[in-house]
This record gives sequence, C-alpha cells and structure tokens, in this order.
Amino acid sequence: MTRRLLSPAQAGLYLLFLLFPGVAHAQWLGHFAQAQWLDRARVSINVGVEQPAATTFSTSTTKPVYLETATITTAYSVPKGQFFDGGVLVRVRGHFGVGVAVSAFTKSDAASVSGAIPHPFLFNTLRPITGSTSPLERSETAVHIQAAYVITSGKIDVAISGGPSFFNAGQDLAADVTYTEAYPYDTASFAGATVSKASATSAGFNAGADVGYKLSKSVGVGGLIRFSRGSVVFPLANTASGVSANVGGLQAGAGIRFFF
Amino acid sequence: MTRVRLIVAGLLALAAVVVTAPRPAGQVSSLAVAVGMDNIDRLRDWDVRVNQLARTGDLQVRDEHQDTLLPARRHERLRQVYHGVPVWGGDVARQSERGVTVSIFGSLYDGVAVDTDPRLLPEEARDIISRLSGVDMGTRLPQPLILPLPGGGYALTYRDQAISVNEASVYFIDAMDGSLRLKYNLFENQSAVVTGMGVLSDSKKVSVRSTAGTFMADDQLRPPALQTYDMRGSINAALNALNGFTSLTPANLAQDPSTTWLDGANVDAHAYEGFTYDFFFKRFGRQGLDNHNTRLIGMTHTVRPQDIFTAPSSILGLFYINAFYCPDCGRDGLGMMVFGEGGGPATFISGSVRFTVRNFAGSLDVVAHELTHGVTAFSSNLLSLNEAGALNEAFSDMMGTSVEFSVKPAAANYMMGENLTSVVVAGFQRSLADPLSLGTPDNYAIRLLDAADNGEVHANSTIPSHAFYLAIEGGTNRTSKLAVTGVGAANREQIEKIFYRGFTQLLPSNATFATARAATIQAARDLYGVGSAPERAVIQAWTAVGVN
Repeated sequence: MTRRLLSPAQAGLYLLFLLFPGVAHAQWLGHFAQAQWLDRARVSINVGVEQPAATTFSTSTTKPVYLETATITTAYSVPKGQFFDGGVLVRVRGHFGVGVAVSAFTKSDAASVSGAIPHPFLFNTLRPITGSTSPLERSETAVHIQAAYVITSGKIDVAISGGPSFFNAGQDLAADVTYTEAYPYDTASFAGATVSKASATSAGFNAGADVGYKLSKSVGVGGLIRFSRGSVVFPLANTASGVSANVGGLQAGAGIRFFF
Repeated sequence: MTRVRLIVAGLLALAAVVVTAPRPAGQVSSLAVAVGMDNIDRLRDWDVRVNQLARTGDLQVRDEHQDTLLPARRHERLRQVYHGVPVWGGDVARQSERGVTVSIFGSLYDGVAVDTDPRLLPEEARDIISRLSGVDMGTRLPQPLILPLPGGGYALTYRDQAISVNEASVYFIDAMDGSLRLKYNLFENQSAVVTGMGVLSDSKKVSVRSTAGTFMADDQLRPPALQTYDMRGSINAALNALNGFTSLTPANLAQDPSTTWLDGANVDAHAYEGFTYDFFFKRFGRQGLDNHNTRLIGMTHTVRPQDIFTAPSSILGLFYINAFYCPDCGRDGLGMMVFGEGGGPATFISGSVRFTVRNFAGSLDVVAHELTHGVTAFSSNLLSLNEAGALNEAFSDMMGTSVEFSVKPAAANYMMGENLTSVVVAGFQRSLADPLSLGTPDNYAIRLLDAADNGEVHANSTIPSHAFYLAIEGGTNRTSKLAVTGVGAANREQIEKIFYRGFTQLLPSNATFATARAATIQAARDLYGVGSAPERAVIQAWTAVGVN
C-alpha cells in the first residue's frame, strides 16, 4: 500500500491545528487515524464569527428627474459578524458520515450613496449628492450538506467535511434616494434612502472541519471552522439585471456537542 | 341594497331646498338638503337626527370652537364613523347660538355595510404605499378609513399621504386585498418641467405648473410668481390687460397638454424671464425686479403675424418690432413685459439688406434688457430722457449681455439683440464692443444731441455701455484712442457688480453720464477698495469714452 505523506483528512486536521494551535500536536495525527468512530451521530451547536465572502458590493440605479436621467450609486459593505450554527452528523460506515448543518448570519452596516441629479432649469448640469444610509441589514441562512470523514482519539474527534450549500440571502437595498433642493437649485443634498428588502437563493459549496472534545459520554464542547461560498443576484428596480453579490464566507466558532 | 347618500347643507341665508338627483342603479346616490333658520322644522329634524347619530356613536365630534367673529356662536364638526372607522367625506358642521342650532352643513352616508376587520396589517399597507410612491414612510402607519366607491358600495381602506420631490399624493389601500383603491394629488397644482423648443429651435427646460393634465406657463420653482400669458393675437385683450381694465386669467396663460412645447415665443419668453431672475439673484442677491419678489408677467402673441401687413405703424412699432417693459401696467400696477411678435412673414429692407425679424422673446439679451428696465424702475428710476434715459438703456444693455454670458457663455457676445434678425442690421442691434460699427457713438464727444428718441437715449446708450465693455475686456476707444486695461473676462463679475451697485443704489433718477462715472467709481471703491484693479479699470473706461 502506498503511503502518502498526509492523507486528505490528515491535511485538513493539520490545517485545523494551525488555526487552533493550542490543540495542535503533530504526533497526534497517526494516533487519530487508528481510532474507531463509534458514535452513531453527533449534534453540534455553535456560535462564532463569520467573515463574509465579499465585504463590498455596489448598485447603480437610474431614474428620470427633470427630463434627464439621475444616476445613483450605492456602495455596500458587509462586515464580519456573529453567526449561529447547528448541525447533525450521522455515521454511515467506518469513519464516514453524512450530515446537515444550518447556519445563520446577520449584520448591518450603512451604505455610501453618491449620485448625480439633473438641474430643473438647465440641461447637462448635474448636481452631485453624497451621503450614508441608515444601517442596512444583510442576512444569510445557509443549509450545508456534508460528507464527512471523522477521526477519533479518546475524548477528541475531528470531522473533516465538505459538500453543497444552499443559501437564502436577504439584503436591504437602497432602491431610491430622497434629496433636498432649494432655489436656485444649484446644489442638492442627500436626505435619505428608500430601502427595499431583497432576497435571493443560490447553491454553492462548503468545506470545513469540526473538532469535538467529550466532557462525558454524550456531551462535549467543540470548535468549527468552515468556508462556504455562493453567488446570488438580488432583484432591484431600476437596474438592468439586479445586484450580484457573493454569499457565505469563513466561519469560525465554538459550541456544545452531543454524542449518540 | 339601496344606498343613499344624504347631503345636508345649511346656509343661514338660504331657504330650505330639497334636490333629489336621478341616480343610476348601483351607484351611490345623493339627496341634497339646505337647511337654515328659514325652515325651523326641517332644521330641528336634522338637529335631532345629528344628536341621535352622535349618541349612537355614528357621529363623533372632531372639533369644537367659538366663533371669532360672532362671539355668541359656536361651531361643532362631527365626523361620520362606522363601527369605529371614519367614513371618508362623512362630515357635519353645526352652528349654534346659546345652545340653539342655527344651521347644519355637511354630508352623511347612509347604508354603509362593510367588514371593518381588515385582513391587511397597517404595516403592510404602509409598505405598499412606500412601494407605490417610492417614499420611505418610516414608522408612521396609515389610518383605516371607509371609502365610498364611485361605482357603488364601500371599501375598508388604509389612507396615507406620501410626498416626494416629484409627487405628492394620497393613497387609499384596500384593507382586504392590498389593492390601490384611490390615489389623488395632495396639492391641486404641481410644479413640472417640460421640454421647449425656442424661437431658434434650441431645446431648453421650462418650469411650468401642471394642472388637470395641462401644463401652464406659471413657474412654481422660482420664488416669485412668474407667468407668461399667450394673448393669442388679441391686441385688444393685451391692451385691456396692460391698461388694467381687465385681469389676466389662468385661461390666458401659455399652456400645452404636451410635455414638449413647440411654441418658441412662449418657451423662450418663459424660460428667459426665469434665467434673468436667476442671474440677478445669483450674481447680486437681488430678489426680482423690486428686490421683494414682485410678480413677473410677460405677454406673448399680442398680435397675429399675418396682420403685420395691415397693422398701423403704432402697433407695428410697439407690438411687432419691439419688446418693452411697462413698469406701471397691469390691474395691480406692478408692471408687465410684452414680447414683440417679430416680422412674421414680412421681409424687411434696409438699404440693400433684406432681412426677417424673429419673435423678440427669442433673444435672451433682449428679454434681460427689458426686465432690467423693471429693476431700474424699482431702484434708481432713471428718467427715460436725455442722458438719464441713455443710462437707463445702457444699464439694460449691460445686464442683457451679462445674463447672456451667465446663461450661454459659449455663445455670448457684446452684441445686443443679435438673434432678432436674420442678419445684423443697424437699428436692431447695438454693439457694446464697437458701437461705431453700427452707427452709434462710442465717445461723449460725438454723442447725438437731437431730440429724437427722447434725446437719442438708445443711440447714446452705447457710450456708457462701451465703458462697461472696456472695463471688462480692455481695449482702445476708437474715438479717443485711449487704452483701457480691463479686469479680464474671467473677472467680469467684478465690473457687473460695480455697475449694478452704481446704477441701482447710488444713482439718482436724473443722473448724467458724469454722475454715473462718479457713482460707479464709488461702487468700485466700496466693493474692491481704492487703487484696486477694478477701480482703475472703471476710471480708465469712463475716461476713454470721454466722460469725466
């Protein structure tokens, strides 16, 4: 039998230990590989921090104003934020199992608006406006289907998993802006945005690792690291093809484990 | 089910009248009743009925107040409600004196039958209004209201208003299915901007009023009332309006149901009046002709083009081949401007030159020139005679070209009225840059001294207006050969402000050229200091044109 330096599972573990240096010890790798995964299933509940896949995106809308076209560009940011995750992993055979996890992420941040508003009296005399919206919410709920390889050693087990993800994302979008103007109308000032809630779904993928530490036979604690990615198009009026944005991201969290 | 709409209207001075209108089946029908003290029995009947409705909760008092003119009287307003929900338009006003009802005025709906338990939440209705109007409605919630339907029956709705920069409307959203039941404009008149093709076939924006599907030349965006009236070729109507015998009405306003206006005179007159107002406001902070936003009225098409061949010379010279500002005209005596119709189909001959004359509204500098006469009338009130008259004309030319440089910098020049005729013709145009080229004096030494034209006020105006030009652009006076160092075109604003200050705030009504020299030098010192470049330019310019 040909031996490679590291199996995929071991490589994943090594990556995990790099991210969790307190747990890392290279000599454990061989020991893990020899143990049997005896649990029928494990349930994990995590809370942590998600770094979104794309932290910025923008929209550009137009609308007729004073016989010309006003253009509004909105730059959104999606900062890292808290996520919640829950999942179940069922052993199928040997070290292999399948599972499903659901994660939810919500974060709000103001968007920057810039635009050019036509003049009421003169053609080709655009008036710039700039401003910030109130915090706009990004929410993502993802269902991660996982095929997992689990390595155990006594109280510790590690699941390396990957598979498809299905995202349902919501985003507050600045569908329109309001502005103030007064005679002689040579300037216009941003007053606020008309916010619409857009939602979209898409499929993507996930890959990650989950480490559990048994405090008793059926209860433990653990850590999770997962990367997921998808791409959605939020519908938005006055745009040609909606707003494209990436969803998912890098999740790192910890929580409780139940073993059956 | 027969639904009857009862309208109870009481007027103290009226005798009781009952009118029943024929009504198509299925429609909300009406019964109109006028009740006053002249019909005590009917008044008492309605008084009792209103009291009964108030006791059962079908009428709710929404306002009570003492009469400010007749202290013994009180007024009470009651609104109709059905199962606690107001009925739109169901309203009664009752007047009483020492507890005795003297009149009832209002309308009530009978036979209201509608489910008042909404399937839609107020928040959902608010979101629908937000979506329809494009306005963020915030946390304010629309109010439930029973809406009588024009086709018969009633609907439970949510009502709210949404105001944006483009629209102000009231929305009625069906509380059962979320459909839009009714929408109407919150304000009767709305501002609008239409595209207009001017006399020279140039496209421009025109600020108008939108009323009942028609756009009228009544500017809603600028501070003063700024209106352009199309007299549709009626010289008599124009004369009556100018003389104050009749008032102009909205029907006289230039108007078009289309958002693209093609009457060049109406388009340019209205747009250029606005541009002139804008220039004085932005350059000098002046609010209209009187600096208090007095209304601005212009009249177009006071005569018919085809009548030019038979028009008396007085009409020809005033209403065809001219434009004028009449400071005391109009029923209120606050002034009016008339834009000459131009030559229409006529071809004019001057020497060997054949030319046509366009509508005078098509020349921005001419429109600004005439309105500046209004500014003068409300400020220095320069006499229209001799040197004061020439100064009056000169100041209008200065501001006319200044407006042109402000609004159309790429096409601007120091030729007054260059767009009036198909070719430049002495008498129609005046050159501030080179007056001699069009036969008017450029120096005090060669001023015209005859009595024609009130002492040659138009011809001699090019002496001070040429000084204005030299102070900006610099150059050499052709007659005196004296050179002037101007402030430069980039600093033209300095000279504009100096002459504006001198002519509107420092000059007396019987000013001479010498007075104007002293006033503008004083203005230069006030604004830019002794020895400043603008002051030197003004002194040199007046000296170059022979005014000391």
